[in-house]
Amino acid sequence: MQLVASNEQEFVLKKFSEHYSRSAQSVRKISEREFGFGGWDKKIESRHASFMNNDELKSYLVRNTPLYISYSVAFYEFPEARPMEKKNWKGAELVFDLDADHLQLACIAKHGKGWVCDECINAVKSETMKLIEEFLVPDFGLKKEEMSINFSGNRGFHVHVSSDEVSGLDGYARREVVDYIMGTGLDEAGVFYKEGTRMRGPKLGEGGWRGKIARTFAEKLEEQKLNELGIHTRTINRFYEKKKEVAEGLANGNWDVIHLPKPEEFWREISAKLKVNLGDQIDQMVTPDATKLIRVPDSLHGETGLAARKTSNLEKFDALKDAAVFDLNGKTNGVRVKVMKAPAFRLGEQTFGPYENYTLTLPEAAAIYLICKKAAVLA
Amino acid sequence: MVELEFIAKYPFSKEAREFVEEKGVKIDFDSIEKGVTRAVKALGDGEVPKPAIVAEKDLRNEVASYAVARMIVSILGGKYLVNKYAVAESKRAHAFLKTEKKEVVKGIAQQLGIKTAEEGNALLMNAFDYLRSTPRDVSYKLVNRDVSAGLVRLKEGELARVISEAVRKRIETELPLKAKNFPPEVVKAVEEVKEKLKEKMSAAPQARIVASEDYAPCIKKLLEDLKASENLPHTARFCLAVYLLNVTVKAEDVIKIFASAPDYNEQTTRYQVEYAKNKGYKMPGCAMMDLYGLCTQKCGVKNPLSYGKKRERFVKQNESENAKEKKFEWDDRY
Repeated sequence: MQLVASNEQEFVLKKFSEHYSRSAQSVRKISEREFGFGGWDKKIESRHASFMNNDELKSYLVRNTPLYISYSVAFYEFPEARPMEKKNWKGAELVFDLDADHLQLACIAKHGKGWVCDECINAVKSETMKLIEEFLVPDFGLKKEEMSINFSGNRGFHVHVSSDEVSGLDGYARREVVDYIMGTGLDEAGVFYKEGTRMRGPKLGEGGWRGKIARTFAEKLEEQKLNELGIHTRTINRFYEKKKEVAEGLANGNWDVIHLPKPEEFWREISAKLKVNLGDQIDQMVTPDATKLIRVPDSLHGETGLAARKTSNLEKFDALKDAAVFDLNGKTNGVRVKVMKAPAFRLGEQTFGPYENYTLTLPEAAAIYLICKKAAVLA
Repeated sequence: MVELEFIAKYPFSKEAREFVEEKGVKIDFDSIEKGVTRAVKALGDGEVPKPAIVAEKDLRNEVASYAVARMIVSILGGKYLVNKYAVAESKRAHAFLKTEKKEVVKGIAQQLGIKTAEEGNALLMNAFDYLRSTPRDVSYKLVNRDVSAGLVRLKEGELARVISEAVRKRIETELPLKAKNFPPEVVKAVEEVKEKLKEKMSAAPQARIVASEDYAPCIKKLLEDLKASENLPHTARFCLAVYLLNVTVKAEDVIKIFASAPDYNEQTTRYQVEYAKNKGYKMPGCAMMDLYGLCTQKCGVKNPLSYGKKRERFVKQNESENAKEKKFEWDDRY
């Protein structure tokens, strides 16, 4: 809550409040969660709040409209108690935070750090799909119904796993999950090893990382794209000549015919290809932290005015369109703003900008987007 | 008799609980004596001896000794003793489990909430159960396991190890016992345990190094925790060992420092410390320390080694050694 609110802040919060008055809240196990709220300066300014039910949350959001609203991935007996130990931790969802920022994409050079484009969204979307399709479902045996995916409201996706079997996992176990999906701590000497004079390695049908490595190798061999795995051209050609023999070896873990002169490069490339990129060490801490506060799905993001929309069809989900909640089609009169500086950006079907010191009338959603990004003021 | 033998081996099992509930355990001279021995051996030597079973009476006493030892540990209190006791009991369970038939091992697993299935000769185990009781060893890291469809494949003998980890965790959560009205004979016996432990402790290798004033606050904290006998996580141990090695504490002395850890094992510690030394690991920076949750305060340096009066010497040393050194990598062996 701001003591001195600028016109822009007042405007955005009024719009947010209107949105919350129109929409019902549906937070699962709401009475067991801790809530945190943020404003213009910090995404979490206050925490340790709790609500008995979704109606209570809704009326809070309408009246005290925060710019950001987060809840605990954990369930507590006393969510408002402090310090943390007094809350009585009962369990927690397993969450993954995937952010375009973590992927170090080339498009940043085009639009700068605080902005997002289709390339960013698509990259982080495919990383999220990889997490689900290559790890959570096949390896961890989780069902799609046990997962809930939502847009972060800015440039990423959150995956919440809510099944009972993950609930009680401690920090160490959650860290193990992160290490698994990122391939951290993979014992390379145990994947390929000498047995007498024979070179043994993973088989196609194996589970875990060994199977993934064998299958990726086989796939790239078949597609004649082994160069993508950091293997030198001269070596590759030898493999292609003996393709059948190599493929047979992969089926039963015999890597005799496969000689990798530069194993470091192979390891670097194959793990980069297979792992889910959760970003650096700090970004990775979201999952192991079983007391983390994370954006409430479907709530508004204070840096964009977009909703942290839940989606049941990630592939078809168009974040920059489906997450917009304010008017984009001129149903309202639009908002007159002065844009200090903004690169071109898309919302819905339209592309706006680039702008620099330019005053114009924009659809409500675009105006709110720019004001939230602190790139425009009301004119 | 067979059942009683099983109960004596696995006093944490459902059968044992039922037996105790039905028949009760006799707290008498014999069982207290055995309980004292059990506690002293566990807390002093880190090992619970296998019972010398002669008669049914011995078996009953063996079961009772578990109950008595738990009371003793609860009265003594403190995380260190609880953890150390749990480690010792888990080792004892492992020793028995290793010799059991697969069916028995599976049965005990089930009691501890570990679901298993068989596929050919391999045992399959629910991946999340596995994560709850993963032995902290690089070969047990999930990333190095055959995991598929939510099931982890275990090789022969591995389930016993996982179970013993689950036993450790269970005992750690059960103790200290909530009940306060322990039998007076047991309360009295605690004094005897204290005396015996004192004797053992004075014979044990003492850590020669105490927190030097020049050590960074995070390192002092780790040393304190270790002294208070907290079971430090691997990262903490790793960081502490690398720090000490870098400020030229001898490997031999670093090993002794770890002697107060509840799960101390000289051979393993020696291997790990010497490995760290030979690999010449670089001290993780403050950002990493913070990430590991080991940073205690903003003390104004970027690497714990830069802290303190001997700053220049430490930094110089670290830099010159880093030139030829391997970069720090997460390694779960520590």
